[in-house]
Amino acid sequence: MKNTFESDMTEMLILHVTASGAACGYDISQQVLERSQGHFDLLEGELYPMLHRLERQGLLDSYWTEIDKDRRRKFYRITAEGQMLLESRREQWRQFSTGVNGVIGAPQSNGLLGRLESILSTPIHCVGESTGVRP
Amino acid sequence: MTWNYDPDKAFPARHPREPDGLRQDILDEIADHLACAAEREKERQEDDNEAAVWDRVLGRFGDPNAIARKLWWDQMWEAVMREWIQTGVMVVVTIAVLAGLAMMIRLVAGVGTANDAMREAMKQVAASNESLAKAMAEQRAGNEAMLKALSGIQAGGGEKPDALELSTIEIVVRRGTPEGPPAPEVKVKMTGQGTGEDPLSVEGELDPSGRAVFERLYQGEYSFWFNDPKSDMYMEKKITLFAGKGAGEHVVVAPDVEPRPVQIDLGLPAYGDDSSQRVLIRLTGTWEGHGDTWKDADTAVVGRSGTWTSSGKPRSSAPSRFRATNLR
Repeated sequence: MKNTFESDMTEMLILHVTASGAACGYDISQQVLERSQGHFDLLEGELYPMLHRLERQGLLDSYWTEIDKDRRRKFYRITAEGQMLLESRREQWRQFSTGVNGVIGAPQSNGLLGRLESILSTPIHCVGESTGVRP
Repeated sequence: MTWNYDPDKAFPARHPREPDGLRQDILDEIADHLACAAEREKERQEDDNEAAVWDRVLGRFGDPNAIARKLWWDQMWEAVMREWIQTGVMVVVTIAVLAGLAMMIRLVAGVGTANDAMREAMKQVAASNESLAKAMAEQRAGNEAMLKALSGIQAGGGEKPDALELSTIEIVVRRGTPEGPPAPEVKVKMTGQGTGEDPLSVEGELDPSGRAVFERLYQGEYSFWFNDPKSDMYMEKKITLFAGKGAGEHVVVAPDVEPRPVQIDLGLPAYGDDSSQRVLIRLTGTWEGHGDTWKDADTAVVGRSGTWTSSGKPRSSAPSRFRATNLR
């Protein structure tokens, strides 16, 4: 079970990924994993409950797209409310990392803070983003 | 190949408020994720062994059935909890209602018992009220009769109340004992004065059964004189008559003793030289019968010396009294 800090962090990463464009659950997990250089490995057992919770809270929106005859895919994208929360979390994170950096020095690029800042400061180009029709 | 979907493990029984497509959406999302993961795994590992690929994918993903179940619960949690709360509230309310009904039934039963006891008590009170009312009615009737009598007394010769006019005295004379044979030969005379009435004197005739009835008597005290020719004794009996109440039957027992003459020898000294002086002799006797005292008397004027024999009246068992009086 993740603590509140980690949970808030994961929420922020998911909202950040979906802010760049609609993405399915698998793409979200892969993008976070790749951009954090393997550090943030979102387990599916935690990823999907969190996605569904954010959707129920109105922070994410979703739609389905037919992939082929027997397969369809669910895409998530951030809502206006989610965007506001994301901005708030980003600001909190910057203040937090600035404070931590002031104590321990500039973040190393391969450190946790560095990787997080890397994810948050880099726009994400979603490879798996659907161009399908929203339901 | 795909994951081993087990509907019994993946989802609980269908909930009435469950959205129609919820289960299928969850399954499609998991299946798409696993398919993507398997494709990526094949590309990454360049492995054509599909079973090995799926083992790795599922090993990383975890149990899809458990995740599906968790997603279903997360979605349905609010509805299920609401239903449980409603069910719990209904159970509590039902228990409260049943407890209230039970208490009400007990109260009603208690009230019924109390009502029975109260009804019984009221019956007793009504019975005592009836007897009280009866006693009061009798008292009232007596009071009214008394008032009438008083009114009659105050009015003098005015109209007499019926209660007074209807009073009756019944005399029965028997010989020897109260159960003895009738004594119709006894003479009866009644004297008296009722309320507001002139004095009256009535000779009564006894019928063969020794009975005489004196009717229409007003309230007052009456004297009855009995004269028994057989024993030559007499007796006076007083009977008080109250307004509205008959004096009832009065049994009079006449003497049944045998005559017993008394012989008296006289030898009285003379006063002076007058040998012709006489004395008055009075001999009295009594006979007690049934609470009444009969008397007799025999008088004679005789010389101062010699023998005198009474007339042979009964001279009851009680000692006769003799008295001699000088006659000057």
